[in-house]
Amino acid sequence: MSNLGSSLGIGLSGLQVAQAAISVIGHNIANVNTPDYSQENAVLSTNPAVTYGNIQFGTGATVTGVQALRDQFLNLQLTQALSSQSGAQTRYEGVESVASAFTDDGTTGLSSQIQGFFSSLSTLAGTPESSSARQAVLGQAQTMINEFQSAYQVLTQQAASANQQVGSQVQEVNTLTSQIAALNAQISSQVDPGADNDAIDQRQELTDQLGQLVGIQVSTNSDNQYQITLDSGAATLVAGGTAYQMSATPNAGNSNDYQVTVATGNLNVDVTDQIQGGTLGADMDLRDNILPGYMNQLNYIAGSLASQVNAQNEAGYLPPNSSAATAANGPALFSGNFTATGAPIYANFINTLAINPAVTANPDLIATAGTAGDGAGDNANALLLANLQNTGTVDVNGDGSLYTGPYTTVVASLTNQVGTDAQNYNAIATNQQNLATALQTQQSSVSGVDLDQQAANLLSYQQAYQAAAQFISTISQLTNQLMAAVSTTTTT
Amino acid sequence: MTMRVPNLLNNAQAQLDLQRIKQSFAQTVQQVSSGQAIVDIADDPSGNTQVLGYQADISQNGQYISQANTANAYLTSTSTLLTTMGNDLNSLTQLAQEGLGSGATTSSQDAIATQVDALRSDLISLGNTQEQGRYIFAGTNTTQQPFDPTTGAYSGNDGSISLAVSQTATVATNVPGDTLFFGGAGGEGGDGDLLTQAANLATALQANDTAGIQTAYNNLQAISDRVNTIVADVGSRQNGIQAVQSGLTAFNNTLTTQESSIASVDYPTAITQLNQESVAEQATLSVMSKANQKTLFDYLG
Repeated sequence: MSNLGSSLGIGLSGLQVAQAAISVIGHNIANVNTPDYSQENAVLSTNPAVTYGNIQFGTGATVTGVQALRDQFLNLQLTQALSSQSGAQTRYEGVESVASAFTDDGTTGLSSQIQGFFSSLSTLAGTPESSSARQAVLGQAQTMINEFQSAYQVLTQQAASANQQVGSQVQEVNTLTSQIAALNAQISSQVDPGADNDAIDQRQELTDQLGQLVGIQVSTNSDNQYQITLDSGAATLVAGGTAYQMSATPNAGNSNDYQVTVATGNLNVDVTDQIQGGTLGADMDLRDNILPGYMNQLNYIAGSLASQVNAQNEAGYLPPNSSAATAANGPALFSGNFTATGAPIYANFINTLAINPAVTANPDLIATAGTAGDGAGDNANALLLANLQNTGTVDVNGDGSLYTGPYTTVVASLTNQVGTDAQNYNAIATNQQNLATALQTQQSSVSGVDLDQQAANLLSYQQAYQAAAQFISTISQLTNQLMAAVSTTTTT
Repeated sequence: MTMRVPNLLNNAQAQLDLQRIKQSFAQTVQQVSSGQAIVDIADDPSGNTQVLGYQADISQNGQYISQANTANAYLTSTSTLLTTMGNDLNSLTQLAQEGLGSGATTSSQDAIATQVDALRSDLISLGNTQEQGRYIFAGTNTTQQPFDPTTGAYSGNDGSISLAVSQTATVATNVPGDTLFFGGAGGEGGDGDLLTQAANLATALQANDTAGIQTAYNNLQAISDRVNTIVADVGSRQNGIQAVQSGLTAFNNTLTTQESSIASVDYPTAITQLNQESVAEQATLSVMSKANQKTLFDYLG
């Protein structure tokens, strides 16, 4: 048979349950703006009944756990989307920042300056005797070289800054993987692995951050630990409570670009260019593939143009007033490292490109004449030099086979490539951003804290608490009355 | 079923949209302020490529137009000089006729010979004319005086100078002195040599050598025919150049129009877009400020 004392216990359990539930609500409200926080609910259940005779009496309620509302699959999808978005965004920003080197308003810009150089040759063909026209050719040649070099400089700097980013991001990756591994250990060490909701939420937040740095694949093991590998599967970053350190070392064989490795046990796995997603993957892609692609194209254009102009000048003859022997062929107009073998050809050519100092000293060395020993008015070779703007070709893939032209058309197609790349990466970034936002909304609709709901729950638990307190107060009154009755009986 | 709308991210989509509206707004402002439709090559890569193509074509046509101008300038001076030369030749043949005339006396023939000599000197100095510092009748040997002022000996060559007036067409801008004065290489001192024939005429007049005068007269007539042919040739070259020039100028106008249709901003469209984006931004801001102002907590307690 139940008694007043046990009823007091029931009232107390009601108070405790309401208090616990209110504290969970407080925790939810406090984390309303915490990223990746999953809303928690107190899990309540009825206490086991006690039996008097053949009657079962309830003994109140208890809190059996605190459960978080989360969709693991959705979380991992979101990590992927964020990773793709940050990768595309970084690629877009990298390409977009070099796009300015390719803008051309018709007076400045690579295409315009190439036109300007050939235009000056065309003017020289009109007046081959004129020393000012010769000087103008050299001036335009220098302007064109400057334009090539400044565009190349922009690309080189962007690649260098991508390389710097690689170095610093590797440090961040290590910080994150260590923290995730520590949380893994914490989560699995619980009596009930996976019960530590806040550690799980924190780990998800760190995993999202890691995904934005490097493309990753995440899987969960039976102990509720995250196993994290690179998106290419090249190396493992986190296995259970162990984080494998990533390191970046300058590669002396490759202009001191950072080589990225992951130390897996005794094995150092080279993961350079083995990461697709995230900003680190994007920066390596920019540094090793995207920007060098543009740089090679620029080198091909400059190298082809300079070598073809040189060949034409060497085929022509000097005017009679040049200090050199009149019947002589012209010298090379441009100097530079014309290594036309190996791949890529004309590597770093633009940095070495200059006007032949002999020609700068004596502009009469521009071979305008087409016939040996002809008069100063012979402009046949000047016309051929100027006509290279139509007949000149560029080895567009750098293998000595595929030539297209003219130069300005190749410049335009390179510009088109840069613009299209920027447009593509921007489109991918936008799409992934949309996807990530949609997933975040979905995730938040599962896990997010809704203050209205919390207010309603708070109200109901507040009332439950008040009712339980009222119940205890009633039991107390009953006890008092009983006591009073007992004392009255004794005195009478 | 209803979807839960928790507090953390209920503005995320609106924020994203707002950012995009602002980005697009900034881009349109830049288009309007710069007048350029393509502010960033990533906006329209293929349009940008077309613009570059048009710019290259326009610049190259500009080169051809300027070459044609240069060629035309040379040919115009040549043409003027050829007219003077034709007049001189007419005078020479008239003087020869006077020398052959029945009323000619020794003294009058001496006077005629003096005039012939003067005309010959004129012709030599005409052959040594410079245009923009170059001797135009020297073949390609344009920096040296082609005719000896006294003997008339030719030190130029028979080189022809051409300029490109289109990708495929070239035009000769000069008449080599030997072609004009001697009828081509090797003609110097022969029957076709204008200066020699003029000198012969003067000598024959002074010697009262009727047969000599007659020969010189006949030769000068032939030379006159040759010069007329050259005049016609130069004239036709000039006509050709003018046709090419006007063709190229018209073509460049078309190209410029096409380039500008891609490269220049279309103000009515851009400003309409600007207005739309401005309205969208304000509407989004206003909605965002009204949404989720209240929670249930505001009404409790």
